Amino acid sequence: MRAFLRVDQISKSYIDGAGGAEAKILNSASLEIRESEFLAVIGPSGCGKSTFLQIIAGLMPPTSGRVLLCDKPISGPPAHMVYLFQQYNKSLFPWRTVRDNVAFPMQMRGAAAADIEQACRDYIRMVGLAGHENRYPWQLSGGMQQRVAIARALAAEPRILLLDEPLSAVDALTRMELQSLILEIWERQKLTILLVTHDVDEAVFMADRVATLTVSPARIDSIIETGIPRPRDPITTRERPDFLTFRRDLLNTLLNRQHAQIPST
Amino acid sequence: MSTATKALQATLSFAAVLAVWELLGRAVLVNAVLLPPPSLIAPTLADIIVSGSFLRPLLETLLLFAVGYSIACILGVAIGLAMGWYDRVYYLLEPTIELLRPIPKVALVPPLFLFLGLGASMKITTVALAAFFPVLIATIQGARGVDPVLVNTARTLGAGPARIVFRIVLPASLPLIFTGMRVSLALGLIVEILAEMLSGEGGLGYLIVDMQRSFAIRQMYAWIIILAAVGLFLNFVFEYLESRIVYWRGK
Amino acid sequence: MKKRTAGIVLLILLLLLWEASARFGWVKSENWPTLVAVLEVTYRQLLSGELSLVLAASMARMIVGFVIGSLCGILLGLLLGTLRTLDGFLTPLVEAVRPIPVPAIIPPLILFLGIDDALKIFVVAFSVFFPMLVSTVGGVRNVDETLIRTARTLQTTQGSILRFVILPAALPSIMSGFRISLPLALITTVVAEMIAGSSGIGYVIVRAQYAMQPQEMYSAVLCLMVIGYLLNLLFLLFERRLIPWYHLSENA
Ligand SMILES: Nc1ncnc2c1ncn2[C@@H]1O[C@H](COP(=O)(O)OP(=O)(O)OP(=O)(O)O)[C@@H](O)[C@H]1O
Ligand SMILES: [Mg+2]
Repeated sequence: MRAFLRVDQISKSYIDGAGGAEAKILNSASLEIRESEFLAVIGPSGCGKSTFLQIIAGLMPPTSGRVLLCDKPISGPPAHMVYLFQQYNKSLFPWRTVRDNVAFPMQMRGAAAADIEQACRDYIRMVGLAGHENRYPWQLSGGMQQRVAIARALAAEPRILLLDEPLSAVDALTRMELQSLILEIWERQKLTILLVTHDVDEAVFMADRVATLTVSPARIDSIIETGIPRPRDPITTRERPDFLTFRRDLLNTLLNRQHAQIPST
Repeated sequence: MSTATKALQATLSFAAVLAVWELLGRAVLVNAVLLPPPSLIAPTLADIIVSGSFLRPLLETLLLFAVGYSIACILGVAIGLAMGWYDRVYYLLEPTIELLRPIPKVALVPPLFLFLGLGASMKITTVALAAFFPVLIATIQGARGVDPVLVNTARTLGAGPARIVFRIVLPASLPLIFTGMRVSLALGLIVEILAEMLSGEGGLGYLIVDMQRSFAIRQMYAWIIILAAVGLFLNFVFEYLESRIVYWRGK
Repeated sequence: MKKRTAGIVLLILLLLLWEASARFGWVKSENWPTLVAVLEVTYRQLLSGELSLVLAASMARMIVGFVIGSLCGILLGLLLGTLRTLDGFLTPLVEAVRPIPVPAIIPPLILFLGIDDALKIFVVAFSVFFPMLVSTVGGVRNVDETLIRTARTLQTTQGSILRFVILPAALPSIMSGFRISLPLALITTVVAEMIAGSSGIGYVIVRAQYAMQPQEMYSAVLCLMVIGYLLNLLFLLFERRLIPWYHLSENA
């Protein structure tokens, strides 16, 4: 398979506020994402996952390196690539109802009002929020808010979806429901999904391939292809021996690496 | 942006404004008598400052303002705390306050002339009246908005009602109280200057009107600049105190 | 309502005290007319058009000045909030002019604009401009970065981001600017009419004081009170229409 989206040795340094000292967060991280695959990137909290994903989304320029989409370097957010933010409660427009939030990308495209109406209804139904169209985001639970964000992302007609720990702030049961929902949508819409998370279980459960980010400065360490068959079931898939093996190995790598970082006294 | 860049930008824009002002006067694009260029106002201003003649009117304005403003703040916070904390006090006073609040307090300056004359007591009263309501309203809002978790925590730790009001409710309302006091600062100064202008007695406001009437235009601008400096200084002091007293207010 | 009974009784008592103190001569002063006399004069003058015309003229000036001042403040605020460099140059100037108490700019302006409508409209616009500017800049600055990034990945142009994201997100802050600037506009109108007296409700008060006509003076103050009250009501109505989501979302 050809490289659909290619991350080519990107590095990123932040200038620390007052002192002006540079903190290097990413160190020539490279990654190739195939069309229609589900790729997860795991890394511990604060290692630079959001930074990595926002550079891919064209939201911030890398200090060096480049991102290629279909062999063309990107500058600024490309069309058909949508980012789902970690802070879903901050990414929904509080002055717009559920319906109007979902309508936003279509309005920006200048779609006809009748088409918007129809499409909104479809997307809202797809994420299971039918009947809540006229409520405001802040009247919904966290899980429902994230569903609105997903519906709105779909309304932008993406081919690539970038998910930044989209489920880290919802409760455990809702998280499983939404994982299945995202997988369903991914299969139905033939999307390419890049998910970053610190949840090993989630990565193995959802992805075809799992890449690990090392800590400070982060780079892509290893990539494994799980080959766990689809469709995946929230309960039985998690009981498979190969699932458990992948989970254990990944946890080992992540935890060991962190233990090694704490200097012995 | 660094502090140095900011200072540079500020200096540049002030220099630009002064230069344009100067050139306008020189090029006779505006009437140089009515708007003298900075190079003519500066010596007048320097005279006033060096001779020390700015001191008496300045102190008069500042003193009367400070007394009125302090009375307003103390009464506003005290009554506001009582109203915010005790529902009975709140409902007792609320109708009267709602009636008096919408009066633009500047309209009360002439009536007060009739009762208190043109002197200090009139000015102190008008400033206090104008500055009182924003502080009062902000204090009530602050006290009513205190997180019940905070109060209940204090209760379970054995704090009595007086302690709760002074150690919990007051500090927790301080950020809002300061917001009200900032509005009052501006309003009080407006009323002070207005009262001085209308009474034709003492202070910077009177001098500005007087200079205009006697067509001493340069002096008039010089006094306005002094008054602007006073406003700037008061704001600065206010911000300093605020940052020291509610330092815990986050960003 | 029941809770307020004591308060309303207190208010009525105070008003009765005013009436009685004037009627029975407890306050011995020419300047202390009875409440009934003040209400009577107000009623008569409003009906005869004497006072209503004056009020209408003052309100017209106030509204024109208010609209001009707030539009300028909001537009410049949007600019300064989004363009950092411009902000660095202009904000120091704004900060230097803003603390001048508004009565002080009236004497020099009289030299240029005379004492008629132009002066009063300008002064009102000037005083309204600053709170609107400051609250707009603050609102734009505090728009959550995540909202803007979200809009960018949803293929929103710069202009649309300003209109559909930044402006609505800054609206609560802009409204809080209105909360300050609306009563300020009324205050400034009265101040300007008092200092540059020739017409208007402020001038009526000053004239009545010179002419020792306390009834007229108090009736003008009474009218201003009602106007102040109505302005606040109008503001609350607008706020509920424009940002219905705001107070609810804050409490959620
Ligand atoms: N704008 C910024 N300026 C300076 N430093 C930043 C900035 N944004 C992030 N950082 C730093 O970069 C590092 C990585 O941040 P990032 O948000 O990418 O991590 P993350 O892996 O997404 O963390 P989390 O798991 O908490 O979401 C952190 O140490 C953070 O403090
Ligand atoms: Mg993150």
